[in-house]
Amino acid sequence: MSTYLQLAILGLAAGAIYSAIAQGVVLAYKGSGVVNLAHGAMAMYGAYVYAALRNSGTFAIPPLPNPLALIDGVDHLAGGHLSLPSIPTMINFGHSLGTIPAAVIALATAALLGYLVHLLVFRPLRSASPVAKTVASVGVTLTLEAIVSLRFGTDEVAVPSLLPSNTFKLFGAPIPVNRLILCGVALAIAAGLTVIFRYTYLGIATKAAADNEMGAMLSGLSPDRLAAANWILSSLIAAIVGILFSSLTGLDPTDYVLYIIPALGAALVARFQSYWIAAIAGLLIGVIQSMIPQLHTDFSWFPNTVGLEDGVPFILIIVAIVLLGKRIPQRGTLLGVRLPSSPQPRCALPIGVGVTLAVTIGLLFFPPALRGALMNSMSGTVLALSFVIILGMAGQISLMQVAIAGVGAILVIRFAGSLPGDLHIPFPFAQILAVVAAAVAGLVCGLPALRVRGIHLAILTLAAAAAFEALVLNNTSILRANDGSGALPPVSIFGLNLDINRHFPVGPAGIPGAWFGFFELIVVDVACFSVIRLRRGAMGRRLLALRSNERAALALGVDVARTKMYAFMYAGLLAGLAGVLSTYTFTGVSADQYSALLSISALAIAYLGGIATVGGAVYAGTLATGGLSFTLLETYVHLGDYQFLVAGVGLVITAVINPEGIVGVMNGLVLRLIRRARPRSGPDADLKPVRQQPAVPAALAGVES
Amino acid sequence: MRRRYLCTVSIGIVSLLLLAGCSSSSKPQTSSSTSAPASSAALGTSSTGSGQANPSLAPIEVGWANEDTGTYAYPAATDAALAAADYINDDLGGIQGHELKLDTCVVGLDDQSNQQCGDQFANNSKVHLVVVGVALNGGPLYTAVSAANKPMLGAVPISDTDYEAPDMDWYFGGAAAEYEGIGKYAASLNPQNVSIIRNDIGSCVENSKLMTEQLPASTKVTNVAVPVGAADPLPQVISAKVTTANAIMLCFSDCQSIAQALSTLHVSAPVIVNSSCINPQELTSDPSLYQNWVVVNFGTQANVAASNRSSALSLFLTEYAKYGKLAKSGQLPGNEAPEGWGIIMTLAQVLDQMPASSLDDPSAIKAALGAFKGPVVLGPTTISCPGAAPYTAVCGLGTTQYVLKAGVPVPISS
Repeated sequence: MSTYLQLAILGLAAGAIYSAIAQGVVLAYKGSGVVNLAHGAMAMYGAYVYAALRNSGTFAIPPLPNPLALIDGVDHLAGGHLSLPSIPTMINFGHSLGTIPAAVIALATAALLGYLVHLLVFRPLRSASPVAKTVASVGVTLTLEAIVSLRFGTDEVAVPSLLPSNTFKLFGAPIPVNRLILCGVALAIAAGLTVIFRYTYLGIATKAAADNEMGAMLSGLSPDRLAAANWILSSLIAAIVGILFSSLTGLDPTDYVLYIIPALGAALVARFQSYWIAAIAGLLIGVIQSMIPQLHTDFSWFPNTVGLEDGVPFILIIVAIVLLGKRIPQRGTLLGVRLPSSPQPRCALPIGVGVTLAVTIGLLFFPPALRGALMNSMSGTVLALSFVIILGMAGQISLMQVAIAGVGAILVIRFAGSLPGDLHIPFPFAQILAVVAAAVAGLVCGLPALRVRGIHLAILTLAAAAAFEALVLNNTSILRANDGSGALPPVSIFGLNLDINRHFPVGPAGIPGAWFGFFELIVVDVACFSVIRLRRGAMGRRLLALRSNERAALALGVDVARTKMYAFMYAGLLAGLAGVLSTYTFTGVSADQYSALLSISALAIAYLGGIATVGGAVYAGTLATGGLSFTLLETYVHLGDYQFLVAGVGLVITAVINPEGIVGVMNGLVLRLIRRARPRSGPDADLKPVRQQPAVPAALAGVES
Repeated sequence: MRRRYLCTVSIGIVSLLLLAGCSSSSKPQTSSSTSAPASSAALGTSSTGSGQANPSLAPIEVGWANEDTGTYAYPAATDAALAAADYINDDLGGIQGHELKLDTCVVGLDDQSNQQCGDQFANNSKVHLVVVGVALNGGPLYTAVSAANKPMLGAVPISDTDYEAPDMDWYFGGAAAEYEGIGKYAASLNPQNVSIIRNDIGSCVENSKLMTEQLPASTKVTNVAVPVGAADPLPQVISAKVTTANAIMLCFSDCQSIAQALSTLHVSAPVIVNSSCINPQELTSDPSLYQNWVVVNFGTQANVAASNRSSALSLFLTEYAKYGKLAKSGQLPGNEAPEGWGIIMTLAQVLDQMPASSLDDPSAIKAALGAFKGPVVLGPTTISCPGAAPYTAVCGLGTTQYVLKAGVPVPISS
């Protein structure tokens, strides 16, 4: 028993990290309405600044564009050897700093970071949809990770401890004092934030602005300043957490980013409102995780499967949230999700034929590298289509689409693979079975959506994706080590071998060949047109009604539960199809393709392409990893070590400037071109209104008819 | 207008969104050089030339793929490989007078970057051979290169995909050799209780089985997993019953947090780890954390005391300090630097001994690589290709053991 008590107390330390990060997330949400996925990364950044000052007396300057580089480059092109000064990467104090000056500088940096994140990212997005804000926070995470990798490297860094290292005995078991201090810090943060929000001007004004922003403004409050103050406070808390906790476990660029997932679970249990509940939920997650190894050491019946420690807390979170959820949404709970419009597809056939022709030409005549990129873009498009249905049309924020793609990928290997234990089911039955199974997985995973909505559903599905990663992807008895490349025999139709590496008789030789690309193109076309057909039909209108207002849709006779389940199943089917296509492209499956963090990235890509239209999914496909845009830039603009940084900054800029996605901008450009091409007096009214039509009445009109 | 301009610019920028795996091929870097046939006494083995490579001869292009960036990054391998190529071209007369040119490509954990590197090498008619440093998800890379019938030589095999890769010869033993070696070393201590603490990932599950198989059947093994990125591994370390263990075996990519947990519990049992567990910077910053730990290495520890250095290691340290970019910036040689150096130096030796007319013949190169029996520079003294099942692509499974004393590895003579 004493061992379990000891483990429970020790688990409080890990729980304290989740707890403190969760409280920072709640603070940012209450202060500015943002679910800040970058909070863990902000904690990491503060800790790195502190560690560098303490270890080597250096202060890292983030990579900034050097205006002189342009002159340097022009001079170099002209054959000159000008060497203009570059921006320094570090300020060196000459000796390692003491604890207090290092902590003061690190906290000041954190405060500045919080203010800049507010000023440059979330302030411009104040009226954007929660999804746009979430996408921007993914960009902030990537940017901070990239800066840390560039300035501090990827190896683990030791951080001088601020905490005592002595232990005391409790029932004969040694307990390090520092673990209890960390737990105390987490609880102190909860107490402090509760006091601030209950008794101080900042807290009361923030609550007022959150309840009624217009009212608060009329009372003379500035929501903007309040948000800035909350961001600074949130960033300071993150830095304190990072500095204190990293001395315990070391510091690397990824760990704190991963802590955000259990922390979000804790914040969700607290419904993004109560610091105390978030604190206690975080601590409990840590305690549960610490008990699990001892349970399966002591009890042979206790499952000893890979990922149990990671997976179990998420499963508990899912159960808790579903039980706490409501079957019918309460008043006011549906105002959160505002999404880009989902217009009726126009000219779908000619556009589709044109794009298909263009891709065909690309497959035939592109050099092999771009041909491969086209194929990656096509499977990326199908995955983005699944987001179009579930989020763009049904309004359900699902972050498990990548995990469901993983279900399709793993199952197609099991059904059609060539390794011992595989079922060797012939084409197309194995592939169809895998896709159908993914659809069923989508349906089952969508069941919580009957009781959970909005950003809560997003976090719940992220927890599901994390559980999938922990319990399935990391489990070598499910995803075998040799399921990687080469595990899947090529598709063969009527004796025609569609091997990814088989050369097509026309066009440049090289790997990959175009045969599989043509097969993929047919599949993608069918998928795109099925989604267009769905959007045009009665079910599409029901989905849009559901997206616009679930209560209103219910009142109008839409079977909300059935419609939601239909959306999850259809999106699951498309995600599974993307997984199957991807598995054939790489002739195998690897765990890293379907991780929980990739789910967030995939949503970000789909959102930026254009979440509500098929065209947007096609743009998103080109943005996918290994896709056409990616490869073109890699080929012609060598980013080297800066590619992560450029990706992060690019994501933030795009989310801030084009919160409706690229497709909206592109459509606007096309419309403008058409208008210019037409006579000034010509009727162009039909080109205007698509994005101005209010989605709700149109959708509801469709339902009524 | 300004907003529209920004929108347009942002479309350009957003196309950079590589989010998920983000890593991919990089611009080729090449090693430089000039004139006359060459030698390699300095390789630690045979020799044939000296001076610079002959610039009038066409260079021999070799593909080099390595995980240089990302969550798990091993840039030291690439840095040392490029340093080796420069050294060969500048001081050893190249390969039969030809400059050795490495076409580098960076792979990541994602399938896409691995496949893109594979396609890049497969489609480059000047590349007749691909060398892999470390590739944690190399399957798509191997499939693409193999489809082009080009042979592959590898430095550090990590996974089952590596062990069984077609058309591939790994000259170092990698993870399989190290974890088997860890188990054997623990078995030599005749322990009654052994604790295995490992990352909660598939490869460590397999490695822990490999370690357990080496132990006597009577040994009681407590095997505990620590989630990747665990905030505090102390509870798991306690559950592994380390205080009563006679030996502790670890499977981690970075052991710092485990070392701190063991230190907190004042554990005295020998801790046996592989070479990538402790990075040189950590060891330098707090050597007491790792005092008396045993390191099992399939290659060579670069940071041994001068009195324990072989001539090949001394040469590596001297020349790497001269040619290695990371070394020039004051960094200690990373764990994978000796393997990056060793594999290129050994390759040079194999190619030096081939008929000049066969240097552009993939099948002849494949045969020469397979026939090589060692010694591998900074690696196993003898190798045999293909390897024994289940490690058919691994030619050398030998290891060396070191014990850490005040942060310095001391070879165990055993």
